[in-house]
Amino acid sequence: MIGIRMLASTGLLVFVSTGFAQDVGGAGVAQTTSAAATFAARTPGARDFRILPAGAELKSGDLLVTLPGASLESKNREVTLKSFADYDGISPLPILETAFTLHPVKDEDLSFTLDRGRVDLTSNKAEGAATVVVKFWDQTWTISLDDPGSRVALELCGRWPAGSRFRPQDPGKPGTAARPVASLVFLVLKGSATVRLGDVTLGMKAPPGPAILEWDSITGARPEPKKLEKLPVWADPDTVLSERGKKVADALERFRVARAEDPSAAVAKFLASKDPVEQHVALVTLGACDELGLLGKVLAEAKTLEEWDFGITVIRHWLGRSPGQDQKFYEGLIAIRGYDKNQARLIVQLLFGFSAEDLLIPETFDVMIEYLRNESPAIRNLAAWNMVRFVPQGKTIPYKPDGSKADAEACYQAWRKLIPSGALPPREEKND
Amino acid sequence: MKCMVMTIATAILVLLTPAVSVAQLQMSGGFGASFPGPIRSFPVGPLGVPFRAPSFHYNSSLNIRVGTPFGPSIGYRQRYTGALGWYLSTHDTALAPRYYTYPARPPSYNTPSSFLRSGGNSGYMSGGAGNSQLFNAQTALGRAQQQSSTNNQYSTGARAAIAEQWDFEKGNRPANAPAAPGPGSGLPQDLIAALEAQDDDKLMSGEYLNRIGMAIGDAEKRGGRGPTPQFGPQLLEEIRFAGSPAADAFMVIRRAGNLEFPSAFASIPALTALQPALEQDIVAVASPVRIGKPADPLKVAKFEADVKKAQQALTPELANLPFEEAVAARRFLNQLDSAAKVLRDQRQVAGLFNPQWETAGVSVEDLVKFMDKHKIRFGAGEANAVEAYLAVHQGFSNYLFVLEQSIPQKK
Repeated sequence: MIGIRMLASTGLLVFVSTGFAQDVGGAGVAQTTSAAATFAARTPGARDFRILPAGAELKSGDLLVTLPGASLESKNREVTLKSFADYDGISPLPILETAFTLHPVKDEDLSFTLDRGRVDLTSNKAEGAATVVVKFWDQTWTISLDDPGSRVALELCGRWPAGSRFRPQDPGKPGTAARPVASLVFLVLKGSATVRLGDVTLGMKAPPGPAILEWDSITGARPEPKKLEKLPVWADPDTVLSERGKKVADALERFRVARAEDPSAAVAKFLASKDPVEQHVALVTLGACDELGLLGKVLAEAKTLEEWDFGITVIRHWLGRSPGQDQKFYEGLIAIRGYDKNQARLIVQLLFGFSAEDLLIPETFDVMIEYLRNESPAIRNLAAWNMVRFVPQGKTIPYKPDGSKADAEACYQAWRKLIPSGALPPREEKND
Repeated sequence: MKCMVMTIATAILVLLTPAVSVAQLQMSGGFGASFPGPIRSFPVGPLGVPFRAPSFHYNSSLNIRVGTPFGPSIGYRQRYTGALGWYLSTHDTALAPRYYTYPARPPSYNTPSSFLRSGGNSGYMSGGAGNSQLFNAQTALGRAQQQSSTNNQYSTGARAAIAEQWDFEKGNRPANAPAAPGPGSGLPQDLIAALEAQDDDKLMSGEYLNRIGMAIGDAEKRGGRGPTPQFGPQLLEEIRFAGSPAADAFMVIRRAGNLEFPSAFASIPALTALQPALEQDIVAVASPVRIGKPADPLKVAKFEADVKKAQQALTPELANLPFEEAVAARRFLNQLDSAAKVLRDQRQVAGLFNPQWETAGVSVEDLVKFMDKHKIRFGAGEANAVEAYLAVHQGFSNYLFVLEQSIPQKK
């Protein structure tokens, strides 16, 4: 059992509420222009998300989690914001969901903080420039969509790099905890745009031209837009989806329709689906809406290894979303699930992963194999999840996430035979 | 973009080709990429410019073409960064052939190199001479411009890190574990990279030293001979060896009585209780070996038994330790176990430890032979052993140069 189940009590469980909730919170700053149930909104301090109907007013301060295709217009209708998904997995960053918070505007047409995911901004102005203020991490960028119809894309994603070590926050030293890394890609899709970041103002235009700008949380933005000859495939709106991509898009639309009727039932239905694509949609939704309790329960009762695997991916995505997520998770494991500090620390470390340098040390595999017969199912399962990725030959070793202790011991012995103590794994034979 | 600094690599490549005893270098210089400077040319002596410069925001570039015995001539453009770049681009001074010691190392982002201010001669090496003219230029700029160019260091690092994790989650990680650092393929570019030593991690992991060691062995087989630099005992103390059970035994013998136990021995009571016994065992087995005698079999057997007890005490506690402490403890005990097996075998122990090394040090020639005999390689050094590893790198590089120069040319 993954062991993250049972986080179903206070603090880390957020249920997707049924029905469309009343407007609450800050001032209205935008309006949805997409179909019902494409937006879920959470007021600051609240636990629940409310599913928004078509044409809903969007309040400043609410955290908005969107399905792909969700769109809004600024209050003055000068700017359209639309969220996108990476159906085919070809984006430079792993985009699972999109979330942002709108702010009251002053001189700009739209202002928001991008939390994660991908949004496109389009100017609806008949003439002149439309201005958008975008905040993310410690950045504030002022984007001027210079021409009518100018369109830009922003993609933001964070992760803990391989080899990161989890350290519980020292209460005596606040603000000293390590952070995940994040990367943002800014791309001009159409027309031209001017970006002001700090003291630097950059003029950019759609390909062919200086169309792409990158930022990361380590070095900040390199104030040198790169020239592109044409739009990358992942950003081109004319890119034809693959069969798999179409399946994902269709599943999302079915989910949206079901959620518009009954949000909780929609999640339950898609979790129980035999279609892995539908399961993925539901798992991503749980992670996006911070429903870790339900996510853990699902993982513990996973029927297929694939469902379990993707659930771990959703949790890793959740951990890397922004600074502090790892500490919240660690504290939740102790306070709610009842793990001791060592177990909780190890669980988070196993979720962080390991680096290429770690894999050069035989004792890394030694220790990971010992974890396979740990008394905690969560630790056993996470060790197995990592091991089959380190050593693909190990996929032939039977493993059950909900296996017994005897199953765990058999698995341990099989891995020990494959990788003796003090040795590195055998190289995989390639079949030509 | 990585800036390459000409080091002994070029010098050795120059020497490898009889037709090119003096390479004519054409150089364009200037401050930064936006200020292309005039072309200058000047003769470079047989040793070329064998040092590394701090990476500041000055740069100049050289176009170099040299022939090699490995094939057609190699042409490349090399950029000099920092103080050296400034110096070469603004001083119309021929670089006289000098026997350079290792000068200032590029400062890291966080800690400026103390070597920058400590003078150009390494205390570890004998026979070194400094280029005070160049060194002064470097230190002057170093004090004025202690700025490391971080902008390009992680240009795709964060994105690559995220993409790597995404690939890992999808199970797309390359099937084979990354190759363990080794001496490399022996190709010229591997040797060039090792001689230039641009990557600090590869220097401190021992990878570069192992590559050059391999080249030295090869040069000796081809008839290379010459005076060999000497490493003092203080230097050897800071060098780590790895790569075989003999290396583990060698490290245990050297450090008997001073072996640092991993932190797990402080936090796990069962291990804390075993530590005194292990320390005594190590001294007991190492003492005769340190004076050239075989280890006492009874003491080796007790040592092995105590190591086994420690392993049994550690295993159930692995999940209670932070991951890296668990790995360190496990590795430590594996190495002790490996060392015990070697010490049990008198044939393997013979010649493993030379007491003279602790008083007189060892020559590069003897060290290479020793490592080859016992299948020992350089291991990863401690963070505070940078100067020691640099000194070894310099000694190995210089010895390789001497050997290559002495190899009779085929007619």
